[in-house]
Amino acid sequence: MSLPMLLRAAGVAAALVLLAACRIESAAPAAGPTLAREGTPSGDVWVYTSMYRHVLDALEPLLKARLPDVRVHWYQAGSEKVASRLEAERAAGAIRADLLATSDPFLYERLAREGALLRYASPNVLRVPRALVDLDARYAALRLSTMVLVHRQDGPPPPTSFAALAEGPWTGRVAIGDPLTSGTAFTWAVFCDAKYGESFFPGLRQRGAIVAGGNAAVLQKVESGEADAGVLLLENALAAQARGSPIQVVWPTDGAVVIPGPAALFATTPNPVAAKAVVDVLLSPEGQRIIVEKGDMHAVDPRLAGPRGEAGVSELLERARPWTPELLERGLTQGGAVKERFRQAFSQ
Amino acid sequence: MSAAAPKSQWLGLGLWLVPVLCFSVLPVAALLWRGLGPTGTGGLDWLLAEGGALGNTLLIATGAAVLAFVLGAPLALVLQRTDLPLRGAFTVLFTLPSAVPAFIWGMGWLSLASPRAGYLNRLLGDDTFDIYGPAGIAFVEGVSGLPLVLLAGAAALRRVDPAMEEAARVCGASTPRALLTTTLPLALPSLLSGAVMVFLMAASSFGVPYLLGVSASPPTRVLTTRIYELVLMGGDEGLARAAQLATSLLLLAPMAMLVTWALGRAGRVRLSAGKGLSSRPFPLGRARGLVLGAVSMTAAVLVLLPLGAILLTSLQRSFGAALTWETLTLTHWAGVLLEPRTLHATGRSLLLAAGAGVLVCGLGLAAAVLRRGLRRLGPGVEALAVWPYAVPGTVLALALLLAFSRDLRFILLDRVAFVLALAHTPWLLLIAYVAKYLALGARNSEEALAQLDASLTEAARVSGAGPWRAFVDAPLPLLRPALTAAFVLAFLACATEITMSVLLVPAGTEVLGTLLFELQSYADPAAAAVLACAFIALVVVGQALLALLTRRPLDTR
Repeated sequence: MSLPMLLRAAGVAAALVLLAACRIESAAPAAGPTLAREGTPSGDVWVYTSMYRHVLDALEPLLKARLPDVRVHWYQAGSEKVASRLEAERAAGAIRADLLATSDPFLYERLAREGALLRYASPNVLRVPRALVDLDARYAALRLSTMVLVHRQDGPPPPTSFAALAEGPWTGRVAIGDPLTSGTAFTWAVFCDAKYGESFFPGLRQRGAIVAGGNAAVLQKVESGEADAGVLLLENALAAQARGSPIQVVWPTDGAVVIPGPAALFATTPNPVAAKAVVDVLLSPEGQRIIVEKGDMHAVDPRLAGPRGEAGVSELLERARPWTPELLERGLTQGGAVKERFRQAFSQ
Repeated sequence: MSAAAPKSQWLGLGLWLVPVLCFSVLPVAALLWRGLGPTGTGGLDWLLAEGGALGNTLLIATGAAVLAFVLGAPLALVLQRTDLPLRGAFTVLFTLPSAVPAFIWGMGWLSLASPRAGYLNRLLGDDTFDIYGPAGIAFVEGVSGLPLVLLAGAAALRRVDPAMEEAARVCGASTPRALLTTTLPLALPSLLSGAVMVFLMAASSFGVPYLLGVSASPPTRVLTTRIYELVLMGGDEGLARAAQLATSLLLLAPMAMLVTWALGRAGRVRLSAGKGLSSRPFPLGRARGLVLGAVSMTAAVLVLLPLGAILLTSLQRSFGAALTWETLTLTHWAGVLLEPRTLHATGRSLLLAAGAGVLVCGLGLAAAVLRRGLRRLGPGVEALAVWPYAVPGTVLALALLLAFSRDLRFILLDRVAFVLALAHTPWLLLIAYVAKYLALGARNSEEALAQLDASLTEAARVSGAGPWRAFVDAPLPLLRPALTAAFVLAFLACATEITMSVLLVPAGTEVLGTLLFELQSYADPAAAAVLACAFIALVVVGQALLALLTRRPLDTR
């Protein structure tokens, strides 16, 4: 063996030894240096949210003023995307988020039952109507989205109730969100399925309902005249009106569907003091006002009026179908069955 | 490259395999394994229940590939080898479908041809066109995949040795015959490879099938939309079923590659000339006007019409409103373009896309070289490079999240530690982009390399160049057209990628994809259309500047 060969062999052997001595560990991402258990809130807070960007932009100065030592990191995407990312991070055992603020009540209930959430009752929750409060303080409603009926100003007469979409004299074409992919449409489907039974989806299908992807797609179809009416979030309709679209809102006589957007703390949060302080700010009257004015949603604080001249939360709850534990249970445990029924009805 | 240095080849293979395995193949495999684990093989009959989705996927992907091939092959020939005027401009025009995110492209067609409200339907009477359903999806996917065929084919045509054609001419063939019997078969593998990429793209795409499928009656479901629905169901069962479907999608990739290999075998003739005479443009003669008309018509209908619809959308107060001057407004443009956030997001996206493009070309070229060098393992290397392309973006993004949400620490002898913390960094986005689009680099260089004879490198080696030097001097310049085509395609795809960007973007930052998603799902489609138009303008200006700088005809560079 020549010297270079020997050297090469020795090099390979050394590399192998080093490689064998190498150990791979994985760990949840290191938290920031300050982990105040009590005292003034400080450090980093990671928030996963589906609140709109411009609402977050408006909230930022408020948070800066109230909590000068806290740095808030927002991860913002649609409710479903946030849930997917969260699910993956939970599976990996490394939830980066301290705080979750999306608009899917069923997800919160599931997380709470799995013990992933930290209980916290903010002092600002005391004014909130009882129907919207989780009595175990596992999560707290932050904002309210509402499913209503919309139609075009110059279009044919609109339906007056959700029931009329599946039966009765109204025979237009309605655009609805896809319950299989859109969380808000799913909540609406659970409500209607519970109230009108199994004939509702086939009825919709028979009347030629157009399934659109999400709320933006429903709005598009109503605006362009492809559909005569639509089932849409109030906030989308109000925002469209504000930019000059000929969309009109109809409050269904059988009750609008209110979808609470809760906030919850994760049990794994390394910085609970600051995260709780952020929740307090979001639930404070100033925070709630920003949600109403920028996000076009209803606040949970009954002292505030609704978005763009609408009535406040107390009146909204009178116009809406109540959230009951049974409905929550139904959406949580039979959600798959509801989706399957919907899919069956529309695949014919 | 040469067989004389097997050791360095193994080293190269190792160096290539480590990043590809660690950052794309293994995370996806882990996710699939996780999904398949609990149910085991019991899910096979359940898979049969999804036969409809599988059938739709195959139908749509095949349709899109055929359409892209039928349009792309003649266009590549006409734009690259004839004396048609404005060839450069046409080439740029036909590249634009890649620059527009597929869902915006779909939205353009939606506003043109949706059943009751589309402008074409209003113009021509009710229900002339119905964009919903499998045919519409295949059409839109095929057109947006056109650049994959066109650019790959054009690069191949530039590579073909003109001496062949000269020989055919000397033997008495007419010019068209020489073109069709010598040059075209030689470019065929690249064209087919492009068509296969369109097939895989269409099979793994989500935006267009979702936009146009869900509203069809009955709804057209494909594998990707089913996977998305199942992932959203949450829990282990949904994930398991999604993993099963994703696995069936993965099987499409090797099948499709086998088909190209079988179809393109005839065209695999090694070319030995380095640089010959520059090929002579084929004079169209009297047919010039006719061909010009046909090409312009195609461009107008397939590219300009939807682009116009997108532009119109960006100017309207409400989607699909009646066309009057009063309904047009510039507020969307001001609202989107004057935001500092848009600029930051655009800058970040361009940087990421450029980085991804370079990596795609580098790793793709390496894959092609390894494919040539390692005879037995070659197809395996290629398969590893192409596979992630068939993985839906959602699945790839979730796999990366699952793998890299935790920090990985490599501890050496309990002393030295390297920490790999990728969660919430832009690096994760870069990894996702490169992993997904590596196939573009690998396939393009592979087809280009297949037609170069080893004698070129050998000549360089005989003249005294080292292996590296020989590679850089001899085959690399000839590969440049194919590599630039791969770069352009990867760059455009990454700059406006939405699905993976939304899931992987670090908290607090934005890229074009997330901005587009937000505008699309909340603000209004008009604002998303503004962004798309601005990006198209950026692409066109960029191409024009590049052409001016290099003072060469504007082409597929």
